[in-house]
Amino acid sequence: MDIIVCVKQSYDVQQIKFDPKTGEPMLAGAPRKMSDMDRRALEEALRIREKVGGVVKTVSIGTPDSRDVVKEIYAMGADEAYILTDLKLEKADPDVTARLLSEMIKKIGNYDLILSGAASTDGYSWQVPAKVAAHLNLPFLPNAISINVNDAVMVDCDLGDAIYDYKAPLPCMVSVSLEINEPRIPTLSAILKASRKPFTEFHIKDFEVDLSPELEVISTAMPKVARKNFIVDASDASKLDEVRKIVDELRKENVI
Amino acid sequence: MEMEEKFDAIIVGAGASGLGAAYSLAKSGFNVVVLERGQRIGAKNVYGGRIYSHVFEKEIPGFKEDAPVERWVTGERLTFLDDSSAATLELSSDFSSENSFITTLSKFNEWLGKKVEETGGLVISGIKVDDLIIEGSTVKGIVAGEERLFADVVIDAEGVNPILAKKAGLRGDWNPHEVAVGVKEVIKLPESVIEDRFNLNHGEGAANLFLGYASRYGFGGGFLYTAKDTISIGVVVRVDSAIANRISVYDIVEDFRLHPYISKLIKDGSPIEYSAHLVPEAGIHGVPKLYGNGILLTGDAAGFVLNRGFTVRGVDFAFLSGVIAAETIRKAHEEGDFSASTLSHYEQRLKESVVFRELENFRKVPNLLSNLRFFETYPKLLCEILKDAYTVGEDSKKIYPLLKNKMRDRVSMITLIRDIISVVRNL
Repeated sequence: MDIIVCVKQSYDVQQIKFDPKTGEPMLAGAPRKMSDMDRRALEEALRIREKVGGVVKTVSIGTPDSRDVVKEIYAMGADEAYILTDLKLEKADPDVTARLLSEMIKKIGNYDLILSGAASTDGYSWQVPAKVAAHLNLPFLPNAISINVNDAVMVDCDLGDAIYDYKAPLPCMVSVSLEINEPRIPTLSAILKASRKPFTEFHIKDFEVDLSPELEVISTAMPKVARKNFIVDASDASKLDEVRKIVDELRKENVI
Repeated sequence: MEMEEKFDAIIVGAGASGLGAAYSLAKSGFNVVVLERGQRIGAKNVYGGRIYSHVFEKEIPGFKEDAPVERWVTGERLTFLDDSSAATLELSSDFSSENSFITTLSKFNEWLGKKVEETGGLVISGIKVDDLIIEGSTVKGIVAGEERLFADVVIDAEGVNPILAKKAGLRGDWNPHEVAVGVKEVIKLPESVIEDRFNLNHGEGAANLFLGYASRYGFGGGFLYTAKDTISIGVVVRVDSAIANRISVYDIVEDFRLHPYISKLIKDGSPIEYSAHLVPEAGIHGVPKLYGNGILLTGDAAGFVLNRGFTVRGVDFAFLSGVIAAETIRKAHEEGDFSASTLSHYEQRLKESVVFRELENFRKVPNLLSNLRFFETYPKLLCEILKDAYTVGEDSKKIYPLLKNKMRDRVSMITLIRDIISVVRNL
């Protein structure tokens, strides 16, 4: 079984700071990590390989600072990693991403199954897997919470209203959700071995892909939380009544 | 189980000293691995302040062009604070001197980590080293979870909390008077606002230390460093002093930020980060045994931090101690012997280096700074005297009677003179 997994190096969303004035995320130099659902897609691929044998390859694209993801991919146990990085990809939207990924997959060739996370930890658009499947003209099974493979693929898909059992012929594309598995934590010796394993780099010029995004991002900002910001100067004894009022108010709302 | 790889050196901790050692060893072709407990390099670093650049420029080609320097320090300030006022000594110097810069240690170490990787060293984050492999009295490697890793020598660069160094019998726990706890806030402000407020040209930075109110008149002080578009402010209080005065360090950082002098400097800024860390404060007295069979101790774990009251210095010492450890290991490798007697070269070379020269030079400073008058009486006196001297009423007062009046019941003239002499002699 030849499996290709799409793996994104996301921003580590929990570590991102927001500019308190503008509400915009401060992304320059923000820490990165492998996208949570992609990590589970890779884990699932490794488990399938352990069961039925085969080869696990990964494809990744991103800006040059996302290259470290390869080390993690190898540390988890993938056989071959393919990556394309370019500064031009900073503004890549789901469409550009899917076009490039599918071209890379075509170039690698030979696959029975393509896996990816259903959405990335940072962009969270849920668009890319379906678009990749469309470009490659493959059947697409979204949001898998379990996958069984023999000569076809049987998948439990969580589509929100119910769990659907789907079956598709190979080759096909499956996107996985967070519930599908608990990914392994690489051992130190696996990390050490991974750190020197060579990987294949593609370049934008290898492909004839239109890099102009179809999406225009108008703004990215954190939600505003309105606070009452009511301050009483307690040094002034005449204001004590106001303090009592606030205490009563808070009691009424069961806050204290 | 697969064949265990043996390294030339395992380095515990990806801080300035561990990365300094790794960089230097990797550059000369040694097979080294740095193991870092944080999820990424810099994850555990707090320091956001001044770093002296000399040793980095010497060791890393192209340092000035490449390093994540935010501002070169041109403005030096020492401020005495009482509850509501401030008296500042300021030195505004020549930009071209470029001997110290302001950065975030977390970013700086991340950059050093990249340099190590570029030279062929391995840096692995998210690995907690639990123990040393000790056979007889010789350190042979490390234990991380279920796994064991072997090397000719282990460099213990684990930082201020020396768990492994204790296991290796090199040192004990810190005493409360030997360490301080520092709390830092990072305040975001536009670059141009920072430059205007601190009277800086583009790319220039200011370093400001505070005595008095910042540490609530206990052992310690406050700091303020201007980075590119952030200001780091915070308070460092010696642990014994925090305990004795029942100081909650978190509270006094708040108070420091709200002090009229500070709040003006950071007005309209937004806090974006908050963190805390321990700092070695014992100077030369805190330096433990630095080597054993198969092990060397570097950086904060070895106590290589110098606090002179108006300036602190540690990151460059840490890096240099790593470089000297690397040099020692090269020598030991040549001789094929990693026993304590060969590794003692490390201490010998350190003693000839700026690290020991400086710590030795300022040997008496930790004692001097154990004099509470520097933290309470003098900052208050200075603020009060200047306030009165500058207050013009019916008749202005002469300074000397003012001073005598203020000193009454607080400090005798003889003690004051003695203190001044000891400052001049020892700082």
